[in-house]
Amino acid sequence: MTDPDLQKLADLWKETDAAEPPRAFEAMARKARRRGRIFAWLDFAAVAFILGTSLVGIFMEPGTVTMVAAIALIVITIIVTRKRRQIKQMTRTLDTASREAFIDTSLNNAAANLRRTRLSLAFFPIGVVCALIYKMALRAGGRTELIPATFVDWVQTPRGILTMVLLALLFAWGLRTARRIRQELRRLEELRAAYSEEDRQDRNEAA
Amino acid sequence: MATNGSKEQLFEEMSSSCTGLINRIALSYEADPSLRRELIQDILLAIWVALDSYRGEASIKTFAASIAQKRCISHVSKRAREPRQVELPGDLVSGAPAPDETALRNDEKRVLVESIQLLPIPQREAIVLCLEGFSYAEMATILGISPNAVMLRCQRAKSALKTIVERRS
Repeated sequence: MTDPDLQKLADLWKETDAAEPPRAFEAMARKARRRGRIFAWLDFAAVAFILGTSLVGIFMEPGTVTMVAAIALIVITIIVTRKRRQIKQMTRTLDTASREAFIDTSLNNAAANLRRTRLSLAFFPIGVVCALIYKMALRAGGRTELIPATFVDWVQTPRGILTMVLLALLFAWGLRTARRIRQELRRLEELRAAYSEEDRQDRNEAA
Repeated sequence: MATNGSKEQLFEEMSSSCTGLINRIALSYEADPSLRRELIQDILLAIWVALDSYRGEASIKTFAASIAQKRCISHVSKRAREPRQVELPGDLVSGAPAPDETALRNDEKRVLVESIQLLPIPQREAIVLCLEGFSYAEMATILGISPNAVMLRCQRAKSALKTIVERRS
């Protein structure tokens, strides 16, 4: 760097590292290392816990329901673990790829997240209605004509109110997540455009 | 690939030698001090995780800068709200020159940091690496472009930075 103006700016820039004092930085580094280790063991611990409790459950309360629940838990655990491994793989790509690949991967991930959130939002009301009909049908002893009246009675109880509020909050959370992902997508698109513009200028000036 | 012992050692080395570098890279992307602290924490965690794939092809400083820049880009694209300008702390200076000199120097630093934060991200990452003293070859590794493109991008970034600094001072 021979430009004296740039050297002056560089000297000035390097004086601005008071953002975090060295001691606070060291503490953050220790915390990051601790978190890193915990994350590394979390997958294994979660799988071991779920498999362990499922097996214990089968032996303690043998029966069809316990068996089905345990098998469902084991299948879900395997699917979730596989998914997490895929995410880890993707993170590695993010660490090593070029800027264009990095932004493209981020865009693909954000788009996939948005699709997943929209799908959840679309199926959430249907799922809630089905669950409520099932619950009310059980309460009404299987008599379908009593389901609306049973629901009206249940929804006025503190438990019913709490459940409905929680479901509404969950739905609102989903809407908020979708809005945030849309904003992220917009920013990533802007970033991609900015990088393309820089590349175009690089090529023009080099020619 | 780093083994457990060497990973610890590398992380120690990185955290002691790259304190200023990581602080300043985070500062160029995040003006809010509490969000910046979170960002630094995320950068450190990302470096720890990524150290598994470090093969020593580049220096640890180059590796840390590369991860930090990418983590900052993700941070900028994910943040909940548009960036808000926050007053920088007044104690940015470490020496003890005359109070008016200190004030002038602090003002220059504030203008420089705010001006860097205003640059488009592709130029911002180039100028920050340039100010940090990375060579064009190292910057090419970090940015994933050719050294010639790095040189041209740095020139444009420097010119844009000078214009913003002059307008703001």
